[in-house]
Amino acid sequence: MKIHRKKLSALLLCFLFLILISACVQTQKKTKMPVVPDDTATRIYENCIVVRTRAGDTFSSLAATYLKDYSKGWLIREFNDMEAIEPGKDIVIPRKPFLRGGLKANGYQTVPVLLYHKFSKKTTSKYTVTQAAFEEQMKYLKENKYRIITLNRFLDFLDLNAPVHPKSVLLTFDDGWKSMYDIAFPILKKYGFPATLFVYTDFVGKDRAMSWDQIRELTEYGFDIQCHTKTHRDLSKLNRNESFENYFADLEKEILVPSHLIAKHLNKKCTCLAYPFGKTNSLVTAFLMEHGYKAGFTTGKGQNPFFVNNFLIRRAVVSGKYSIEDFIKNLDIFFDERRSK
Amino acid sequence: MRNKFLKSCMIAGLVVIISCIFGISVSSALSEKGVSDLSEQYRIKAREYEETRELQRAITSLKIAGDLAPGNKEILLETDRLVSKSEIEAQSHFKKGLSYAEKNDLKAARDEFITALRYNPDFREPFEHLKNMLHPEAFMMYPVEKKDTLKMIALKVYQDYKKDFLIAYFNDIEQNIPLKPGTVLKLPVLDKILVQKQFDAEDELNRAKFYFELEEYDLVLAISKKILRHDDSNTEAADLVNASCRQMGILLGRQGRYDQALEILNKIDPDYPGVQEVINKYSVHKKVRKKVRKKVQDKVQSKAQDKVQEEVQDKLQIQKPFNVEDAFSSAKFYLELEEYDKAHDIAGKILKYDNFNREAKDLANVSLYRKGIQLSQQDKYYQALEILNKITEHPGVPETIAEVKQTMKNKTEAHYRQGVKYFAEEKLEEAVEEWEKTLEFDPEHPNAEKEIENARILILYRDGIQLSQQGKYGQALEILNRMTEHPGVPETIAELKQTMKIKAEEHYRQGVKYFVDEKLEEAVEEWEKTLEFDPEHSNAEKEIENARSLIQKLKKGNKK
Repeated sequence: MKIHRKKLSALLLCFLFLILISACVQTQKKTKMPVVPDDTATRIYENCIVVRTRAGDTFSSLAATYLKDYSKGWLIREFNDMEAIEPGKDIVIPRKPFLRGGLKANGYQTVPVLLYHKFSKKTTSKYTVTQAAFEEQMKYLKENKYRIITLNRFLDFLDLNAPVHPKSVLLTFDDGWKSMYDIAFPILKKYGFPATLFVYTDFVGKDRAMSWDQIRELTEYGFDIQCHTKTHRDLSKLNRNESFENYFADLEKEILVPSHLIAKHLNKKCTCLAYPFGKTNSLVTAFLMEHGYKAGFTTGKGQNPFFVNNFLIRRAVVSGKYSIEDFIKNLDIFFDERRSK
Repeated sequence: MRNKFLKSCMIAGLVVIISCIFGISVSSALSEKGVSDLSEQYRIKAREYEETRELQRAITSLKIAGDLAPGNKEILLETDRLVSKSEIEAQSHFKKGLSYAEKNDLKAARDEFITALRYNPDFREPFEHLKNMLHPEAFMMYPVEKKDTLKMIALKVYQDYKKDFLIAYFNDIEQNIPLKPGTVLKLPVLDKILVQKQFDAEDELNRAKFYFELEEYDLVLAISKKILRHDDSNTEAADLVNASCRQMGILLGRQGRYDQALEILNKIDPDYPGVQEVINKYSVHKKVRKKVRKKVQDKVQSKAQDKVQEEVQDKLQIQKPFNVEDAFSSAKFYLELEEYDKAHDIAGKILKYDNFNREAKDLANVSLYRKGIQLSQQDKYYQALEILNKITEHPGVPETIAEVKQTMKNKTEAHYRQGVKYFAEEKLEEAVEEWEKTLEFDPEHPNAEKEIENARILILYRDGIQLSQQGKYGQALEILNRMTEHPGVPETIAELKQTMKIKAEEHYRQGVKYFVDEKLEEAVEEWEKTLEFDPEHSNAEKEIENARSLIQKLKKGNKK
């Protein structure tokens, strides 16, 4: 009998202990802050989301979950001023944009826009970059944590709508050379870099040019295709013995025909133009604005802060003769106002 | 044994209850502590950002701190203060930027606009200025004037009437439709390289003729001479040179500048029709004037002597009989001296004496005619017409009246157009001045009065806005309340009142802060400012009274 009672007491104590545990858990649940129903470690506020991190969380995964865009992981890292996530810590995710225009106390961000034309396995020239050099350049960008952004992101940056990564770069390719498809495209895919291709439509389907099918493949991959005129004529001045009326009629054709063809073949609206030879004039700008274009790209060297004229965006031509050091010199990402004074 | 068992159960139950209570307070204390720590972290970050002038990061951090500690009044006040500070700083730098831009110091303007955006990236105006003002514009706005056609506008703006199609294209209009004055057209700005073209004689000739119609003879001469440099056998260009010189000579002659007139007229081809007559006429005028001036000198001397004698005779009360010949001679004399009123008076006296004196009648008419011309040369067209209309019989009077009317019309339109130009450039006072001049020339002008009224309203509106930007809200409201029936003004007034309410609240909150910090005098000052912005503020008056009574109590307390 004694043994039986002892057992009973022990059982009772265990039972009571279990009740104690469950009661505490219940109590904890009742006193929690407003939560996301599936996640008890997240609190949503007007200006931020506070998340208790777990093992396996990355900045990108948090950005994908809470900002619906994995590429905004850098924003979370920047805001919390941390290099890596430690599980079990509270992390604050800002819900509203900050750092628009990359404006800081001592200066502002600039976004380099790089321009490529042709590629080859071995030959180099001013406009032809070898496969090895291109691979080296893309590898450099990846290893040094540059962020290759899309054209739309770049335009948002110019309109002061949203910030971009402090080390953002835009890659552009002119004309529509087949070598871009054969050589550059696989390398870009390897590094996961987006790109913008400016085609001049009279070139498409010609001997050394891409076909519409190949260009479509690039768009399906996620590249942006924009306008580079019909015949690649210099839009900035009249041809010899050309009347102004003929020049203007030609201008219309050079801009509206490729727009129409790109819409027809790729189901895409052109909103940007890369000027042939990088040259333009005020009438071309007026024409582009009149037809709803958002930007025009030159080949002028220099930096692109958010307040650059949308129709005079500067691009650095990456020459086939460049060493990696020459290439790096085109990657200015910040203008320090203190240096300029 | 049974009692022992029951006791164990009760003890265990007590342990459970106590543990739960302890668990609640520990867990909630822990979670509240965690949130409070995070909130405090962000407050500290905000202060750090503020010190490094990164106000936007500071504001973001404070808002997050506020989210994490809801109801914390201090954080709310700090946030409001910082938001207000960033807006004020942004405005201040924006204004500095505008001022630099006006002085054409574009780099300094750019720096100020960037700083304004640093403080407030939502502030669109400095952004628009950075994007647009510091880069060449793609379009210019052109207000259509009376009698403007697309060709005329193209000629004026691009120096090429053939570019009229461009204007039609960018405004989505047909090339040949009549334009409504006052419509604003959007014209693409053309770089010089597109405006300069190869020499086209026919084009240039048409341009020269166009300017001839506008009486811009200097321009006509310049273009015609350019044509002749390319082709000296171009007879039309040569004709235009002669015609322009003739017109310029006539204009100078009318102003009495005979030397300059003759200099220009003598450059004209002697065989050009009509030129010799004009040269002869002004040569005669020049000689006559020289003689008259000499006569005047002599006459003045002898008149002085005559006057003395006259005075003597007056004193002796000797009446002179009326001598028609003498009177006539005096009248002619005054005519030469261009003293037409006196000549007319004397002619009048002669006619009183002898109603049928034909010469006196002619003299009277000549005096009036010349007086009319003199007045028109002085731009006193109404008075000129009044005088000319009195003339009974004199050759050339109808033509002169027609000419005066045409000149008046041209001047009227020139002033009106100038007014429109000033208006388009937002120089409102200058525009009003020009339209007032328009009305001087033509009091019945169909648009000038309306435009003056419109411009005055805009001036008032602009002044009202400027005063509000300077923080002089009361004065701004006073002005704007005078024009509530005009579109946009009620909304502006509502905005202004809202701003004043916000300012009132800012001062009120500052007053509260001072009050909390026991700075009662400063608190009263802030609440008085609150009432300046919002005289009906529900609490400010009460708080002032309260604070003042506290101050009194404290003073009494100190005395004791």
